[in-house]
Amino acid sequence: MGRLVLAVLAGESGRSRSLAQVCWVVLVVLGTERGAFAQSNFDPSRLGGRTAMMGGAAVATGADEATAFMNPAGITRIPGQSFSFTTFAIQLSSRTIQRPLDPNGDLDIDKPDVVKQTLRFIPNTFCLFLDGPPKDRYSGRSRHKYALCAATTERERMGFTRSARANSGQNLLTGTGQSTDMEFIRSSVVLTWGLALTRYTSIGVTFRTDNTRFQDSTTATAYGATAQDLHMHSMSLARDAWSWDTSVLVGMTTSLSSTVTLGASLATPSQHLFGSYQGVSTVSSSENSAFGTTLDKGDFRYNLPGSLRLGMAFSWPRLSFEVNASFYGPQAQRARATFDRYAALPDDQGAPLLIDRRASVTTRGAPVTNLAIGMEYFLRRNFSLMTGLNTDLSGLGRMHDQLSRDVLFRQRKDSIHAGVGVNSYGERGSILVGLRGTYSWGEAMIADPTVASPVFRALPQSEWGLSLVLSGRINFHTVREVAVRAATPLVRGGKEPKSKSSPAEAKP
Amino acid sequence: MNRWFCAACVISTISCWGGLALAQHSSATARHDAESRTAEPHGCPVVCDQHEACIEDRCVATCRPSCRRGTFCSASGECESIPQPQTPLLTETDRQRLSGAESADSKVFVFVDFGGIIGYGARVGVETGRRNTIVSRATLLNTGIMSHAAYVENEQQRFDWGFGASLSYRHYEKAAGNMRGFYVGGGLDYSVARLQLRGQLDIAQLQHSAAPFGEFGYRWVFGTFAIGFGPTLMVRYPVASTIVGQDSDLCGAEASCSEARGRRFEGMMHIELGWFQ
Repeated sequence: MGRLVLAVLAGESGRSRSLAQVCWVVLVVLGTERGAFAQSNFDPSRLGGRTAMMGGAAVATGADEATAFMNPAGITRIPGQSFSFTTFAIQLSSRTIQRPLDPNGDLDIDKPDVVKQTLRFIPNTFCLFLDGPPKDRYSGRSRHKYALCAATTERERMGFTRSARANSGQNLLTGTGQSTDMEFIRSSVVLTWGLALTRYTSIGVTFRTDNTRFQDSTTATAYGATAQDLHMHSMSLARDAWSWDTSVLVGMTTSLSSTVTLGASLATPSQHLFGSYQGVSTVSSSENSAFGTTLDKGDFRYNLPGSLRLGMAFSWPRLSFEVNASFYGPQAQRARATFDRYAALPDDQGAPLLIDRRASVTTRGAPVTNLAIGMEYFLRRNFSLMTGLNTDLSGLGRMHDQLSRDVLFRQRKDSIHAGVGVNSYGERGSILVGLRGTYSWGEAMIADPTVASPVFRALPQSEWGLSLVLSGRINFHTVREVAVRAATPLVRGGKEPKSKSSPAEAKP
Repeated sequence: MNRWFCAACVISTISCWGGLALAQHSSATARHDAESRTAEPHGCPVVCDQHEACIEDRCVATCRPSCRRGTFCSASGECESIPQPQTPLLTETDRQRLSGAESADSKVFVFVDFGGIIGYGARVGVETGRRNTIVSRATLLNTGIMSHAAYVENEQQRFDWGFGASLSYRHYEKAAGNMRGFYVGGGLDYSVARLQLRGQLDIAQLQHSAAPFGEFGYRWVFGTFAIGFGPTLMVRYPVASTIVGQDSDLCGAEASCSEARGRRFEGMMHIELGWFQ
């Protein structure tokens, strides 16, 4: 089957030509459920500065923005009322996909690989932490802690436009072109409540709302020309989908001793609220002017799996060490697009053939276990060095060549993340600078325009990335102080108001 | 949302880094004030032990023997008096006692759970007891967004209507009054949903399901009014499924009637607003 179009392109087709072109158009029009671009990598360890440097190990003793997403009980560790943010200020990455310009290996192109470097500014997480009333008159601390956080919890983008001419004979010109622009983003907003049940044990809950969006646009063309003839096949596919889902995360931490702390959290599978799916695809072939188009409209859902995270941490005056394990359950429907399909194409006689039916595409989710290990060493009482390592295996099964109608996810990759950074703690907050490296490997599904029926080829891909991580936490007292100092020249002609201590800071 | 999110992040990033820079600049003058104040035991993950000082948000063993009540272990290793604010702060218990005194002895609480609107339906309930209570609730599944998403699982069926009821037990932490403060509990929920077959045929499926659940949360009381929130986690099992409708005898011949689906893990937040009687 894969050789039919090559035969057409080369002008060598015989009886199979018309059959090939009809099959191609029919299969593309009816069968192409456009491939979504999604990750299903649940532990990118990009949430929270300290957590990113600790390799994502934060279930037991995490105390930054990531805590609200990983184990809500941990937010009771965050001191005072504060505002927190994390930014991957600069991320440099390079992705290599092998042979996307010649997926079949038949065109004999010199450089069929695609290497794409990107340099991005990536805002990621910010949180607001608030205290409840104090627990008693002696500590001044509250046992209630509330958090409101927003983060980009999954993000992936790949785009390239390349064309190449094949090493054909002197009287034959063949070539192919690919243009792909896919973006997958999952943004999350969480409301978290943490409660210190006892002096050593805390519980917490996070109510999470996710907005998943992917946009995917691909054009693929293959052509063959001789002095007498020109043959060309092209397919154009575009999809836009989004999904709103919610889930609940409950967690607990408990200190067994002054050294050992345990943490655990349990997340429900996400529950779908509503979504949208729209797709447009067209195919055309120079053979007998065959063409067709498909319009899809319906619902899309992207479900997070239920998960269990376990953590154990050891803390000494100078050294903190934590190891985590995260388990994600299998799913019959990791993602599902259900839509009404309207298709128009010519039949064998050239008469219009209209199709209106209901269809769906589903992708299963594979179980995943990830491990994380991290440590923080205090060089001084308020200055520490952190390092960590974690795995981030894909929640999708290994990919293989498939008819496009069976494909929803178009890439998967397993990753290893490592980070190193320094953190400075102070009365007014904390500030962190670090480097984080990533290496990923897996498959990318690339449209193959050189075959009679539209297929996506599972091609090997790899990626490395290096990020400069900047993170900070600033308490409300400092924000107020800075605001007063900044506003004083404007409102009082340069006279500073008398500082007003909060009741909690007043002397006895 | 992403644009809003990016814009918010950029603004917050700039303002925070600016804030930190300004804070560093001002820290020299502020340090003197901070040092002149009596250090207070704040900022540590847990309240430090009486022989530990809270130093840079970490509890470090410093004082031997332990400091007596009303004092704390300072960074210099000495026991110092805990600073008290000029205006006394109301503690959590104080607030509960003051705001909820009017209903402290009430034994009946009637509420509406609005969290179910984002979940599987708004619920009304009655709770009776003191620190150990029985909660009975009724649910109209149609009022929940998730109901419409969870039951429409294929091209042939749509969610028509559903209702449910639950009975549960709750235990309240010791607090200034009945049915307030932190609570933990669990119970059993039973629901019936009608799924209508799409198309011209009058065929519907009644799905019965049961779900054991657990929950915890916190309730604040203001006079006789109260608001509580927390998570509810449940696993729903199909119990029975029956085919009804005028054309039900055509099921299997002219229509595909799917059976009840497998168990489902459900999680949602309950947000209870109500009044003590």
